[in-house]
Amino acid sequence: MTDPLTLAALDTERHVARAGWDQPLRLFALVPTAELVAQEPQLAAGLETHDTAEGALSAVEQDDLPEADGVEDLLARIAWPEQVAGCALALERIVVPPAAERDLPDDPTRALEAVAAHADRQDVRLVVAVTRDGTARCLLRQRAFDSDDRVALGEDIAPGLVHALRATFD
Amino acid sequence: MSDRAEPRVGPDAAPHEPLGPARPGRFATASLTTVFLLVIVAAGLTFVGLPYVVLSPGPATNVLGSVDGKPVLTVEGAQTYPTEGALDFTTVSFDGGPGRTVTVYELLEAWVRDDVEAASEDLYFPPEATEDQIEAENAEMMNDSQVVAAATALRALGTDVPTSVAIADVPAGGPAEGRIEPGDVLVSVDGEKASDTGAVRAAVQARSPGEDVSVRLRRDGEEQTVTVPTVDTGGRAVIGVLLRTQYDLPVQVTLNTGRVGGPSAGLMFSLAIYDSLTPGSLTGGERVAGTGTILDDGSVGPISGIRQKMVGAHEAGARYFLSPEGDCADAVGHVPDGMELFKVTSFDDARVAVEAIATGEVAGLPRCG
Repeated sequence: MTDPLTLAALDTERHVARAGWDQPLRLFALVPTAELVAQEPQLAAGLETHDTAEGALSAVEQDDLPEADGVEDLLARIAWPEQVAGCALALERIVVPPAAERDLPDDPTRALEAVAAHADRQDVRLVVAVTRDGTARCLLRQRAFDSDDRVALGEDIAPGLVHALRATFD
Repeated sequence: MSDRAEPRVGPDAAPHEPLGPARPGRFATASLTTVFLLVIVAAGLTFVGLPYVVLSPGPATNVLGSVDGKPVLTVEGAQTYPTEGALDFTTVSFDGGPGRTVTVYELLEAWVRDDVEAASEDLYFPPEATEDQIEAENAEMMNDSQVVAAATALRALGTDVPTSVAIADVPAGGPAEGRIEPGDVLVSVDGEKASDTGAVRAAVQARSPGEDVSVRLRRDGEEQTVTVPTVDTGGRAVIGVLLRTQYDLPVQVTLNTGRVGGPSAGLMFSLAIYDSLTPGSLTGGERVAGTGTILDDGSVGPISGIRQKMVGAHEAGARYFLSPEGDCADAVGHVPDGMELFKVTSFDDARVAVEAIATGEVAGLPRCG
């Protein structure tokens, strides 16, 4: 059976995906569904079977994110209250072949232009979810293969982001 | 950027108000007035050096052909015969592993293409291995596979291939350390002739753990006897040595495989050596590809990356592919269009399969299912 964190990550990924591409970064708190329902009983009606499983997690979007200078800086400003069991981050990226990446200009704006104009660019959306115990799930969707059954799941796709998300619980 | 209220989370946020106002559903549709437009350049710490390997189809090489003007296979010291057709050994292109890095870009293909596969690095490499160690190990396995392939082909022709049992390695800290050295050739153990590795193991395991064994060995041409205490491993007596079979080949076999390493070409080498030592063409002019290790008893062992190897062979023009039995499950459902896959468990199976392919009578051959 799929574990609660994977389910929450997949749910979050699909939820974000339904809003299409060219989205800003989105951050979610993962909270135990049971506690959420206890606080907000009207939510119980919308639950599916896997939501009632022991340890099930729900994603609660955090809008009004603090101003920050990039993802790492944003995450460095986040601290979670203890009711939050984990968190998930969704962000889009453009990736280019390793050779092209090495040749990018140092200036960030020009580098971004070069990446965006690259013939072999691929647009991806990454969803990284972690829990307080350090467990992590990464999901990656490609814009060129935009369907739920083409989403890749791994633990090690984005070690840097996993590290930064874990650090929000330190 | 729009103005926004104080962040709900963050250093200044009240820790007891985590979730804000009640939300209408599990995914509250936050208004995206918080336009946090972060389209980020791929470079940077996020995606660098991922612990994956990416397996993709590698080239297929005809053992009966030549590479860079040099024949792949040379057999000296015996009558050889012209060959026809092709016996292709197949490869997997590996990206990642010690000394190399995989980026997310390289993983993208693996997730959408059937013939490219991403796997966790530690499935393929021990965590502490260096690039040099891996290359040395692959080169050694390649060499060993060539020798066993030659022995297998010669035995199939009725030629006696004398063997001896030699010491491949003496792990530090074991009872044999300081008493037995790598390269020693075993003569007997407790008076039992060291005819093969099985006989040596049986002689050692005839002791109770803790008892001494008497090992007669040859080092630098001189015979000597050493006494080695045994230790208990899972209830059995061992002396802490790694054995290898040493072959005294009556012919000189050279295989020019370039930078290809690993043991998985053994089966195809053995078929090609057999073909060149027998009159007439084994393949009947057909192009047959395959993969699999060859073992001392003539059996064929499983390998990794059969899906990638089949695609590489198909691109090289092979219509027939020999698969070790243990890889059939992995192969089924991924056989390229127009390719026929046959299951082989031994050199003899493979020889029979190639002979049948040569005559076009493949109906009775075992298949992968």
